[in-house]
Amino acid sequence: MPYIGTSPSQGVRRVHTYTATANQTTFTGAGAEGATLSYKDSNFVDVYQNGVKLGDADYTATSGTAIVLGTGATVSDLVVVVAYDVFSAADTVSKADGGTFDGAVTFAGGVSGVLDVDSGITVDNITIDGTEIDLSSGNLTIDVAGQLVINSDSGQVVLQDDTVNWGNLQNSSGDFVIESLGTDKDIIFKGLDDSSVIEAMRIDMSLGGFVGIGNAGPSTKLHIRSAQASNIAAYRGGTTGLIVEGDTASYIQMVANKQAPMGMLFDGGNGHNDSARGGLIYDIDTGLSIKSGGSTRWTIDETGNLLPSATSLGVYLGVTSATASNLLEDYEEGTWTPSLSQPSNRVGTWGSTLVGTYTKVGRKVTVHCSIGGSGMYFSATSGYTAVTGFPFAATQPTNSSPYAGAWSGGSVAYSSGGTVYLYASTAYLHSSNSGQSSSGVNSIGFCVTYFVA
Amino acid sequence: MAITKEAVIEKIEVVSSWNIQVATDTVIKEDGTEISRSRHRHVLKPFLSSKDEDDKWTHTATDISGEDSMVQAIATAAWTDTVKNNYKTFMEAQKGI
Repeated sequence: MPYIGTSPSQGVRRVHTYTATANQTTFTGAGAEGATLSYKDSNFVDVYQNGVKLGDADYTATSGTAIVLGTGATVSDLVVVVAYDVFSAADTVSKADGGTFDGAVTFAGGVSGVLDVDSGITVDNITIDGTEIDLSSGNLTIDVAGQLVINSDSGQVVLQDDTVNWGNLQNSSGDFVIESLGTDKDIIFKGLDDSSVIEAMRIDMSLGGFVGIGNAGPSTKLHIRSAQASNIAAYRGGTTGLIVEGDTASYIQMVANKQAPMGMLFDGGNGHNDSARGGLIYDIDTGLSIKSGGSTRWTIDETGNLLPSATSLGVYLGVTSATASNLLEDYEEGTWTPSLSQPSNRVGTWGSTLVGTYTKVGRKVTVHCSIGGSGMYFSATSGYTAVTGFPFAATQPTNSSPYAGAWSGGSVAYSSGGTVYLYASTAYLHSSNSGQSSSGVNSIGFCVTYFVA
Repeated sequence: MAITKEAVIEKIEVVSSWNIQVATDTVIKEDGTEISRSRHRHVLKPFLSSKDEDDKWTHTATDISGEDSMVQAIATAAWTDTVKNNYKTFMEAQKGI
């Protein structure tokens, strides 16, 4: 039991013996025992005079250092003062038995040796002088109600198995680095699909960081596998940055809002600072467009027609490079309105109906004209009539030579016919022979082919 | 079900200075949706030129009053006096028919 008095050198009961002088009332200072009188108050003092204990009314004990008798003592009276020390038991926990501290405990000098706290410990903060928190067996759970913050002034959190470092989380100039420290060891993302553990993604370090999604063995920078192809000759790695693999089908699907464009864009490369110089773009309003040279060139519209973006665009046939003479850039068919004029030796009724059709392929135009009437013929071999209204202006052949065609009457039995002369987009039907049917014909047709600019 | 028919000037081209090529599309629509389109073309020149038996040329100015206003505007702009004279010269250069 610990000492609980004033000091280890003093008892809790002290005796002070004084031999009185004649009429002495005050007794103080050291008694016969040599100890100086001292007491807390009158409750802790007993006074004896010649062996008889005095009552409280017989003396005054208020100073703490003297006893004053109410009546002076007789010479040689023996006055004994017994003083009891005031003490209180210390509020402490037994070293031998242990116990509970109700308040906070401060260890100014720290704690040496092992502090074994079996039922847990509650602290505000922990400062560790050493370098390790060591759990010899079992698992360690750090359970926090809020965020678990790992603050490493080095910017690194290294993950270790025994003494081997296998992972590193690092702050690199503000970038978050996740690093696999094992040679050729991958970073793998796994999860539970229902109750099955699945590998969602793998970064293969032995292959320069190839990423496989649905694929533990990526063959290029990004290899996405919806299903393993069962009949594939080889993967083309190297310059191929992306492989999208399936078995019975494989797609890259792009989804955007309705009427928003979707597609693939191609950079122009060195010398062509254009991030979308080429592309394959679909938009429901326009269809599937092919972009080249920074502009949309061809479009397959929603009905399946292939349309150029400009009338100057076409297809070069029979050559492997753009050669003007091989460019087919236009096709058109339609009607035109023939008109007859400049009759010469013309007999009968000409042009009661006039119908013209044409087909244009590239620069070449072929026109057909049907002339309806009655008894149409030329009365002389020098006869002719002009036809105008052609659908396209004809280029002029060299040396003012004309384009040539032929016309014929609509009846075999009474056939009439001749040549057609086309100059400056005006055609002339010549009699050209002497075999004109005297009764004429009711229909005449001619066809001529010419070129436009 | 409403069927409509309209003529649309699809293209007006000036070719070789004096030729005004006009492409007119006839568009058939059913309830506003195009169901048919056909093209008709004609070419306008400054004059209707003819040569009589005495080899004398007559150039009659083309009447474009019935043409679409856009066609009229382009023809008027294209057919300058120089162009008209060049056309006459060109026509009169052709050999006898």
